[in-house]
Amino acid sequence: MRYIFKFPDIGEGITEGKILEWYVDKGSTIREGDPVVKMETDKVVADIPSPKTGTIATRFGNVGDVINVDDPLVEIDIEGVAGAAAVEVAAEKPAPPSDHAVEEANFGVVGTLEVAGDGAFLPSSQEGQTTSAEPEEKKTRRKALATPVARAMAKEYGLDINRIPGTGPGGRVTKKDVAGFRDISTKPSALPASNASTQTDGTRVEPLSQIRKAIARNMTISKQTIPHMSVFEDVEISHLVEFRSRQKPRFEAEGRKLTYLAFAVKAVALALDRHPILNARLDMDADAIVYQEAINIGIAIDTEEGLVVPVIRYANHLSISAIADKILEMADKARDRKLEIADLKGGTFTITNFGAIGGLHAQPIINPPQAAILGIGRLVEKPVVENGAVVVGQVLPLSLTVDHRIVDGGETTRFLNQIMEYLRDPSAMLM
Amino acid sequence: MKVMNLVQAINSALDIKLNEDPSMVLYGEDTGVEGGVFRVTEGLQEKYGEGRVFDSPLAESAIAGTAVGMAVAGLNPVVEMQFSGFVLPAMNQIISHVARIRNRTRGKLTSAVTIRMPYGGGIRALEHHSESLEAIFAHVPGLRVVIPSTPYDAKGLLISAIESEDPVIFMEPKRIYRAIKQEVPEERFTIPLDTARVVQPGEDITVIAYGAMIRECQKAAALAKKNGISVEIIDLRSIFPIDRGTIGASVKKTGRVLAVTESAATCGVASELVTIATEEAFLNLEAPPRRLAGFDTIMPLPKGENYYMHEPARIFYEIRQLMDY
Repeated sequence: MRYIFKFPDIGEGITEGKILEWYVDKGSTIREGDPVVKMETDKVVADIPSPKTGTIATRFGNVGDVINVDDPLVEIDIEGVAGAAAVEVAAEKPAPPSDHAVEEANFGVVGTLEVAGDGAFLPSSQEGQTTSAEPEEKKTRRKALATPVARAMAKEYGLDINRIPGTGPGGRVTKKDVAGFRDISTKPSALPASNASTQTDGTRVEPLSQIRKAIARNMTISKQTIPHMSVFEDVEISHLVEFRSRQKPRFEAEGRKLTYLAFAVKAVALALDRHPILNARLDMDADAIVYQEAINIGIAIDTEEGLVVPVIRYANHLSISAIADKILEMADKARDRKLEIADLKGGTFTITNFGAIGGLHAQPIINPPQAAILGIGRLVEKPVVENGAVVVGQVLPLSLTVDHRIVDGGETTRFLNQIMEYLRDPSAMLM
Repeated sequence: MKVMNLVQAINSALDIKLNEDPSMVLYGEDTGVEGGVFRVTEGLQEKYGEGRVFDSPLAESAIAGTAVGMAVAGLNPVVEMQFSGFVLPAMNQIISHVARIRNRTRGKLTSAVTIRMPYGGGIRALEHHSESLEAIFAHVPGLRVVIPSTPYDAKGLLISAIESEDPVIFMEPKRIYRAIKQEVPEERFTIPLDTARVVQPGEDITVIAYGAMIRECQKAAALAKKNGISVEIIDLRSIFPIDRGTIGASVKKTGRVLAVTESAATCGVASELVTIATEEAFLNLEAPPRRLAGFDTIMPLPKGENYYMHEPARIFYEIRQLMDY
């Protein structure tokens, strides 16, 4: 039997993905659970496992192609089931000889009639007997509305008309839309991300990667819908610096890494526990604030392809060392492009640790639908006044941005004060 | 429920209506004593007597003409033309009277006659025994034209036809008279006369057919499935009026349409289906709608019949053409 394996819906609203690498060829055998293909979606790079054991009969799509959820990936010849015989028409089912049609010659001059065998009959129907109408399952695969002339134009340009946004009546793709789409970029989806075209004047046009597309979309939504408000602070953390330097050798001996970020995650998680509005989100459709019980801290990680934000779940319940290990694990996965959907789901607050590269203060943009984001700047030695005397202080710059629709200035600064308190005196986090 | 073939399902419908409608009469050539050349009316004369189930003279014009008179006088005649090719002498009665008594009397009288006839090729008979004339009837205003493709539909549609206030031309695909069996309720049920049926849902292409061609389309769809093409098959069932809604919804979804008929291509039912699909789903079409209709020739003698009749491979070829456009 042939089984067509389609690109599955892997959740998170993903509708399309790009083929990065095939693990199978036509004719190769595959076991259930073995990876079939490596797909890049706008969230992750994921291996798609085979649901069946068998032989690959057909492979659809080439490396670099962008395909939609439910498009076929491969056709698998399933072992132990005869290929050609599996025709799913009732009359065609393999059956004992008595079920085969025979010809009845009783009618002489009026012809010969085929007669169904004893065991071969069509499935029955319910129509006209009961009044209950069965709800039909509807699929929503987007197919473009377009006139033949627009379709012909798209075909000539090598564009997939289903990907061109239509501006005509009822969302119809017009000739103008096709021409406009072509001007923006030629064959944008068919080009691998690394393929850039250089124009005669030296301008380089590079199609967006899936990740970059997602970032662009999210940042636009955030800035256009959320009124951002930012507060900046400097916190003196010599106690934390000293504490960390005492613990660090022990961690390093075990091949682990104890970063300041781990302390910051813990401090934020504990502060969120006390200031739940910063861990909430606004639901405009319901005119409601949704308070989230789980405190899941997203960590913004810079990669070659762009920003990814893996999540540390229930950070308020984790020890600082467990958080440190988790951060290291996520950073490795991010750089190897091995993050899975589950690693990215469900964040309720984000920390961006840009200071690891440089910069003191910034105005971070909220990761929607979250309520706030904390930016951590570069740790610097600075003169500070302590008990009337100028001493050398270890100063960590903090930048907090909140969604001003649900968080006011008072709560913002109280929350920030709480974080600073934990960072100034890390022993408070133990209590 | 009882397993029936088309012949038995039609017989069951006639039996039920004769039993519950005392105004119904059933006649045609050999329909009485003999039970019809295809045994469709077998046993009915014995059961309901010579007064209600009887043999007519070999005169099709008289069969149709007397039926008009009986209908106007309040009876419910169900008549049989032995083969659709034999109906031609009755065409004047059918077009001039059966189809237009209601209009001519400004709605005072109706001639709700049901005219049954086996039609279509594939049984290696002579050309008058194998023709498909449904387009000729569908072109005449005032007639309903119905063609079943399964025993279940045959029974439900024929009961509706006999009960209809309109004259109905009920054409029976004799090639599958005994070739398809299905569980059919023994009791009375009806299927609306003007609805098409989605035989199997699909995503990539809509194939519209009726009668004996449904089975061939199912075989072609199985071939297509092996090639990764998902075919939606629509059984038209009512040649007039045509269920535009079902066709429109399907073609809007798939974007491609193939109409398959045994009858000749020019000015035929397939042309009508292509027109309707285009009108209903113009903006969704991804390829020009195609017709796979009969050749514009007289139905060949048995020796040449296999060249004329559409086989699954030919239907699949058309599906491929649409997919590769």
